[in-house]
Amino acid sequence: MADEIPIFPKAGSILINTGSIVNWNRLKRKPNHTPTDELKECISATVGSWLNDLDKTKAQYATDLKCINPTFSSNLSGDDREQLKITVKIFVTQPDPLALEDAIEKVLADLDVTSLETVLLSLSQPDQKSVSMDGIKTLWEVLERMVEKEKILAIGISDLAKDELEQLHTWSTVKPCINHVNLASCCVMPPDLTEYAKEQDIQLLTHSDPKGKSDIVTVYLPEMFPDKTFQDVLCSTATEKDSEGWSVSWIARYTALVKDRGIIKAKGYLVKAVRDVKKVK
Amino acid sequence: MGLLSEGTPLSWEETKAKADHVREHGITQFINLWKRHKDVKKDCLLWGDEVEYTLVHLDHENEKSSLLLKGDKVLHVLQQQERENPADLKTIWRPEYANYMVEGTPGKPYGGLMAYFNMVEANMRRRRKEVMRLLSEPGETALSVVTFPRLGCPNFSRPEFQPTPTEGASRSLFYPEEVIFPGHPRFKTLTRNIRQRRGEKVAINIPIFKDKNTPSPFQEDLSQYGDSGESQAASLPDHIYLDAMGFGMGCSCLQMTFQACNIDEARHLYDQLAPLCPIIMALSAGSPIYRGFLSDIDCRWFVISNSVDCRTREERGLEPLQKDRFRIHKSRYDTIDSYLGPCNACYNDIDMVYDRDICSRLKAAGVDELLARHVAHLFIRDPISLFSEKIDQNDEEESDHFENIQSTNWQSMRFKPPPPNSDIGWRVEFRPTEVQLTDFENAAYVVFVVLLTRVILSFHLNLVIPISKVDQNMKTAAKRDALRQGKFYFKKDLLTGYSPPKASECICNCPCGNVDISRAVDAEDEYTEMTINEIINGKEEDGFPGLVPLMEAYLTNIETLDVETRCTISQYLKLISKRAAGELKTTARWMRDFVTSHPDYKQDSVVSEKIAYDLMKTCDLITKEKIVEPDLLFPIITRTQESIPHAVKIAEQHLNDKHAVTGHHQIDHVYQDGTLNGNE
Repeated sequence: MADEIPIFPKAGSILINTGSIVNWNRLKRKPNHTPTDELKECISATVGSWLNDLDKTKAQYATDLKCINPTFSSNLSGDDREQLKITVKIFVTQPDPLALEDAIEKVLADLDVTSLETVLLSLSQPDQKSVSMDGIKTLWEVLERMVEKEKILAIGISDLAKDELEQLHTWSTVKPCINHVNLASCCVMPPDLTEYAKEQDIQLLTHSDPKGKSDIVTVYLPEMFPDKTFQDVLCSTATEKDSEGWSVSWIARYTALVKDRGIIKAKGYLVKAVRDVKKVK
Repeated sequence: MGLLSEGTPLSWEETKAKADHVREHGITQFINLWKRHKDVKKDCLLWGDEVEYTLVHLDHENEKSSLLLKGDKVLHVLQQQERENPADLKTIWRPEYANYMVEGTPGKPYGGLMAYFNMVEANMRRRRKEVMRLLSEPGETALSVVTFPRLGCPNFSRPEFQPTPTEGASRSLFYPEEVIFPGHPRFKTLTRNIRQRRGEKVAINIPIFKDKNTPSPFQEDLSQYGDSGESQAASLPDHIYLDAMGFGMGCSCLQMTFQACNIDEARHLYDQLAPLCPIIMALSAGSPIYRGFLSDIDCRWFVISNSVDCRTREERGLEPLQKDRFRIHKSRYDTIDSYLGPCNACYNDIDMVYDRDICSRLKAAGVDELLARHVAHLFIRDPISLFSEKIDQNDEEESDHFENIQSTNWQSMRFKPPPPNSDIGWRVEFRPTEVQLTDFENAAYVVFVVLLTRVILSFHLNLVIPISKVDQNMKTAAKRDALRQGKFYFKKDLLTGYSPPKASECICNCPCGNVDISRAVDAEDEYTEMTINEIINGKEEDGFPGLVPLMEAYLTNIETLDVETRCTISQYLKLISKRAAGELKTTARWMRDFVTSHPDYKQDSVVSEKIAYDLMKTCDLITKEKIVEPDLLFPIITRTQESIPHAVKIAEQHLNDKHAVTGHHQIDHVYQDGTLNGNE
């Protein structure tokens, strides 16, 4: 396997668009998947089907890959755009404003829409003494600019405890209207957080993404999709050489709800990963 | 509750004479409604629930429980707010068949935001409080029980009245006239007309639970109740014999109604929910005791079915057809006979009786075959109550004749066209659920069904199996302990990926609308027998995900569910899941075990005054959350609240403002009379 000829040896960036997977029956047969497992399956399927149709000759020279799944479209433009409420959650591991901006622009482009109703930001936290508020603020400014340009209508944050949420809320120009929290705590929410959220009209909404941990000593929010996991998926769908060196820049999960009817119209992922090809043998 | 027109009821003979008139104009009215509304689109999901309450008196001193005949008095006060302040109603109250019953619904329909799922229980709690406030005499209470265990036993009511076997509307050996709601002539009229049309008293024979000391065969000597011999002949050995409409229509249930976005979606959801009727009924089972005896059934369905069975002997096939037009296979209260979606025509494999002339008339007006047959099937029935003031109508603006027939076809699902002169759309009513003791449980079942419709539409699920199998399931579901022991036909693979409102995409091979039953035979490989546990919680080895896991997946995917709603819904799903697994008892099983483990119980299927009193008293304590019965229900955790959280409201408003222009999406919708059910 290690000797397999790489399919895209010159590729330094890859953008994967899973398309709308809400009707993908394979996922519904295993409804208890975590989002990470779900993403793994989707990436695997998307890359797999992309590889099937790939012009292998051209791929040898390609530097920027774009994998889409022809079965599942992600296009949300059309007559019923007005009926839709699109929420996008963006997962990053670094406070890199360019990556975040890139994520938002790519989502807008792939969904073929001019604005997103809600964007939620999730910055993973390494095991450390406190939440990196500076990192969050850097990224938040990107979101605020997007709101100004009317590309995003409302913005929110993820997994903040009361103190950090208050810091963000006080400092920001465009206030967070949502704090996205893990559903395991939905019946045991910390009262100081719920109080504060109520006072400031911040919605506490639930997710089942990796759960954070914060106690008096440390704070930790795991990555949604570790680099190693991404590399493993590429390894099993492409080749080992093709999987080397990749690092996930951002993950965007979008959900389109039909307003006032509670029906999920579309749901999918966009994933951007990069690597320094020179460093890969 | 049905159509409550004003005025003077006609006698049965006069009503029968007007039957063709009612049917003819009823069809004209339907055609008008259909033409006006067939292309209407509604952008918002609206839905509501109905809970029926039983007024009970607990005589602690004498350890006796009785049915409190105060419905009319209590309703008069409850309806005051509707008279005085109709614009701001939080609850709406209506009478029901018996004077010990009241029915409550939310004042305004719930909407399409997820946060509405968190409001159901709070509104139910408010309703119960409103009723309880009016029951101030010691021992008075309101319970949401399906049946009162000693209904029909001597002196079961308060005040006490005697049955009148030779006069009155019921002519029952057990059920006094005074128990029927006196505040409106409809209920007595229906009772009398059903009996007169049928040509004899209704006969309900419920299999008795055979315990160690139960006489075998079990056969009461009915002459002790004043029977001349007629009832004895109608009663069956080893059965509990009942003989009045009140035994059926005096049962309480839980109903949900929701508005679809257009007629196609309404028909689609009607079809998808039909196979769920027996499942939900078994899950909610709550009625094992009748006229003081433990029965071999856990659900009320066939009791009610027989209690309003107006079919003549000819129609029932006991005599050759001479005066009557059709041989009819079911009571007018029973399960539906056909699917409505064109793609499900080939699953309509039972012999549905329908009026060919009416069907042709509807088709000539442009109605498609399936819908035409459905209406023509409803219209094989005679009207069984008619008011003189309502005979002549303006068919363009009124629909009482249509509603007359529609509302006296009491089926497991009801497909409801928009009423005239209102903003309400096409609706589906889900009717088989048995009511539960607590507001938490009732909310759980309501939320479960409505949420399931969202899951079905989001994931494009398809639950449809041959309708004959659904009927078989209903019979299974009513049996004692069906939840743990029953096997139900269910679709093996729910996942289709096809998009229902685009009716042009069909999953079956036959031309849409072709009512050819042969396909149903081929469909054998599409369904299999499953337990309630497997259907609800899944069967991993078969790759069957289960309804609750699919709902959890939906809730995760929604992304915008607030913590309180999430907490409440997860508690509801926990209840449904545990009931399905048998880890928690159904109300029926719990009641049964209560009786059989009671020190006074003599293993003879008899539920004595003392046992019934203790049972009702315990139900009252459970309802008031003063005690916890861990076999029945875990300690309640809920975050229910009466309104949308302010933060959610603000956020929605903000998004709507930013969008501007294209129509308005208000959070609170108020309709003419405040309900989703109109004046039906």
